[in-house]
Amino acid sequence: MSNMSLRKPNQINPQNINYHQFTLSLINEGRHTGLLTTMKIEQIQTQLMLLLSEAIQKYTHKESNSVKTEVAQRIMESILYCIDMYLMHFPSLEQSIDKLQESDISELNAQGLKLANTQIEQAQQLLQEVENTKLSIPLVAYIETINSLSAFFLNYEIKFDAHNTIASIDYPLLLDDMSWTGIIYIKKYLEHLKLENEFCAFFPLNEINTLLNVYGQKYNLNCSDLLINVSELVLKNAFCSVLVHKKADTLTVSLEDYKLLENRLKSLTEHEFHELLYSSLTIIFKQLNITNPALHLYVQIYTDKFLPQLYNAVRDTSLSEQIVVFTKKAPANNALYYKAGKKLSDEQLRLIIDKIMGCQTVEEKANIIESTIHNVEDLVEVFGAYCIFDNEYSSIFDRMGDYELAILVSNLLDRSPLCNNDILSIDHWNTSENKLYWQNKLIQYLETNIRKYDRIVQLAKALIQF
Amino acid sequence: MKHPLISFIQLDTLLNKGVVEEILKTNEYSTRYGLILTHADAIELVETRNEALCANGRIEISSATIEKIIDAFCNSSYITQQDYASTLHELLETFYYMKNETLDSIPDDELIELMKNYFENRCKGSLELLKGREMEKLARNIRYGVPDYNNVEEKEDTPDEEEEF
Repeated sequence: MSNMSLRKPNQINPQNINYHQFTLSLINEGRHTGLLTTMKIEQIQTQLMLLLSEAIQKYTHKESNSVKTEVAQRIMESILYCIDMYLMHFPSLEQSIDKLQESDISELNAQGLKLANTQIEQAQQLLQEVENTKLSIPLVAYIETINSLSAFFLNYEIKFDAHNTIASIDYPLLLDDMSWTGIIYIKKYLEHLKLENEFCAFFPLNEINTLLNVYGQKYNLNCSDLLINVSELVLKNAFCSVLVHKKADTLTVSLEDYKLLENRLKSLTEHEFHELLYSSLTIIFKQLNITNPALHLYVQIYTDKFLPQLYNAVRDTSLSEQIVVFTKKAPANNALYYKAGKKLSDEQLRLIIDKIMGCQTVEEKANIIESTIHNVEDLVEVFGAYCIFDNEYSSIFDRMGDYELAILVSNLLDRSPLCNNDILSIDHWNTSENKLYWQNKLIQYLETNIRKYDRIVQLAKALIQF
Repeated sequence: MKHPLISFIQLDTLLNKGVVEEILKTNEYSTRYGLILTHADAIELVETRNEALCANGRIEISSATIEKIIDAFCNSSYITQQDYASTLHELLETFYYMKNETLDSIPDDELIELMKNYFENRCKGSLELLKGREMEKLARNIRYGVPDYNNVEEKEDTPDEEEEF
């Protein structure tokens, strides 16, 4: 017997309620079940129209009686968004419809606005907590999203545009229900981001940064440009560590670990696989002393989603796509500078050079270069701008990958047929003084490590031939 | 196509409630100038208003604009009882068209005042001149950000300094 036949004639069917158009679907359901009379619905329609009329007057500062249809739609959506918010906060649909039955629409809107303002305050508090627990990772999407959330509160217009999510949110979450909008979405987003920051804080930051770098290298991308969720990478690798009997906060999964894991998992039935994963999750919580029940629930919900993916990956022998395997020791912060087509404008470059000049340490300078320069021409400009001095060059070259160094070196190879082209030289006649300075520094740097010198020169020669 | 939310509140039906009566009330003062609208005229005006709003992609939740236009134009020496209703139709259409063309930057009252001023003085009662010349100039001034946008007089070209020499 279906649920429908068990329902009393005047009972609301929850399946007919759309939580993203709550009031409208409640009215429709009220009409079908007879809980709302035709007269009451007409009254609601008239009251909504009056509310819209008043809002239009406020919107135009009483200067215009008409507005563009899109504006009227937006204002109407905003009014209903606030009413939805208020009616949704009752514990049952019956209570929501009772409130709709007994109250004036303007009263419901006023209560909705009050509730929305409370949510704004709570979301601002959450943002503060997110900022306080922000991870020191180079992910641009993560950093920019948190910055953009601050701007949301400056631009959010609760009276006329409450349903609009005016923020540039690029950073993906483990669990993100994008069907919500406005302050409801922002508050949910911040709640989840706060939990994810809390989760990641249980892992060593340097391990997280190395994990990001290795992930970037795996796909030949600059790790700062990645549009990925850090908690996801961390959780998946933590799972692997526990499954190969390593400590949960060890995020390094070696090739040997990976093979061991693959052998162990592929022999399991689906049931055994589930049991093993959930017991591993318990171990992660226990080892890291994660006690927040909200965080437990959040990670568990994600695990429910992730588990079938992982199971299928084991079956399809594509487990390596789910986790980050450290195939060789990655140099710390090995950024890929060169990315064709992303040259900065002169103004942007000037600003970056000014910023580098203002830095006190070489680390700060290197961080700016890594996060902002993605084109070899820009890099050459920065090197020749007298904003980096003496030994600072070595520190910056240290942080560069072989490929980037080879691009710089390719211009220094002497290609004369009479010359052994494994020797790096500078064309003093045709090189400007500022270029001469950093090129000398590069040659000196490479000459201190002969193995690296050979490797880079070979790579540069390959690049020229290519 | 109407937005579902706007359709839900059945705006068209609700908006037209009592509007005809409100329009007919304007006869109380327009009669002083020998101008009267019949019940049929009032219904047609509401229809024209709705069509003009729809054609220009606008929504209005009152009959205030029709009444304001009647109030402003009923004392015009260029309007007679014979063309009273038809003139109001054209003025309504022009008004909503101009709201869009002036990018909603001129308040209703000011726009009606400008229309009346041009109609009376520069157009001598010609609706064609009002729509095709004065209003177009006004819209152009607004779009180009001319500070004295309501000055629609043709500016005479000032001779170049070189020419003076």
